Amino acid sequence: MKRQDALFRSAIQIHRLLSRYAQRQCDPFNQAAAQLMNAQVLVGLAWRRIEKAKRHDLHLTAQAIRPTLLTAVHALQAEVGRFLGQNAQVRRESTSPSLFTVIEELTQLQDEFEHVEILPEKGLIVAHTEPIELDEVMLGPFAIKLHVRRLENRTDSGCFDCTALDPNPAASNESVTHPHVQSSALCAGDATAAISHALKQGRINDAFCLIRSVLQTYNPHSPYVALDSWCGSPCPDCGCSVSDGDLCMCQACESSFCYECMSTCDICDQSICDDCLERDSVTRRRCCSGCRHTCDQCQRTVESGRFDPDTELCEDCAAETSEENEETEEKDPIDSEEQTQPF
Amino acid sequence: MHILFLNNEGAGFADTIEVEPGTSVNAFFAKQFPDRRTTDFLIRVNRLPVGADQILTEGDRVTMTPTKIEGAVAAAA
Repeated sequence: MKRQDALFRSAIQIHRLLSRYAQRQCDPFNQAAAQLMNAQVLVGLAWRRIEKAKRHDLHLTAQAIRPTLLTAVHALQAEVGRFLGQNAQVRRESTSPSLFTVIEELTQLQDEFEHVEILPEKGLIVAHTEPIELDEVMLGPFAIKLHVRRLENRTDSGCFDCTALDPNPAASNESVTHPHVQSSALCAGDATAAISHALKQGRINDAFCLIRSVLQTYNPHSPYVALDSWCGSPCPDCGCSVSDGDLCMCQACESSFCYECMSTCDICDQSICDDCLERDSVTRRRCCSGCRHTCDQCQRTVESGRFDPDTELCEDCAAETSEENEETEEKDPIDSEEQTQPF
Repeated sequence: MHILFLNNEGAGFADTIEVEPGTSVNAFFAKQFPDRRTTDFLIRVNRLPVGADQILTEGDRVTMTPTKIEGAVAAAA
């Protein structure tokens, strides 16, 4: 390998930046404590998932998550041991990886992924995944890009971008190309801590493999867009994606909505969206534009059966006006007569 | 004997650990990940794919990376 080789130049970049980063991480106690807390968080996450499954009476799911909890507890147990003996352990972890390690990692990366580009002039290392299909939704292959220069300030999944090479974004949000990728940023979820450790230790290949593992997995409990509403059209009201067959057209505005956002007129029973309905505040019934009027006097919405088209008033106002007219006539019969008498 | 174990499950860690001589990859995996299947992991010894019955030797570098990891929605800032 020559010093001009792209792999060698990238390895030098990574080694230099990780060394700088390691020098800044000077508090071994805090570092060990942070690792311990990460492990504890994973135990908590697994436990909460089990509890949530139980609350929804998903006992089989709760049972299926138990191994995850067990593994998390094992990891926590290991971290506790490491934390207690942190003087010896952390000293080892705080040292940056050797240049040789980084070179080996980049070499292994080329074996693990079929397509790898090492671009030291751009500060990029790119690996392509195989086409990814989750729950029968084809998302296509992804380019996992390590922005080497970001390693100067961080060692987490934020150093990576995940770009869809043949994008099939969610219908409701074009920036979501994967249930866990928005605007090319991956939310690594359960892999967050492991990716961070791998990068700190210069295990570039492991970090790439971890990201690929996240891309190959669907977590239905926390997606940007759920796969079961990936295709179809977005509902203009709530924004969720629904298949075209599940859309319902509003008879008033003629826009299409999901069933959740559709209602019916309480008078004529037509399918009308929420925006096109108004409620008669007295009868509490919701009326479409054809079944409601506005009272000329009190200005409230009135359903058509309780509206007097001659006076253009609601029942109450019409009754009041009628009573007032009668009273006026009773009080001033002379005036009335006088007014009607001819000269 | 001692091997370097790089565990990419959960919080992830790298540590030198002691194993019995003659331990196979499969046996080592079963001890580290009870109730899990080897098919759910990418297992490398000295950076190379290995068979489940390969015997570990002193100084081996063993990496175990799950092939399925659940992502999430980024927490709001």
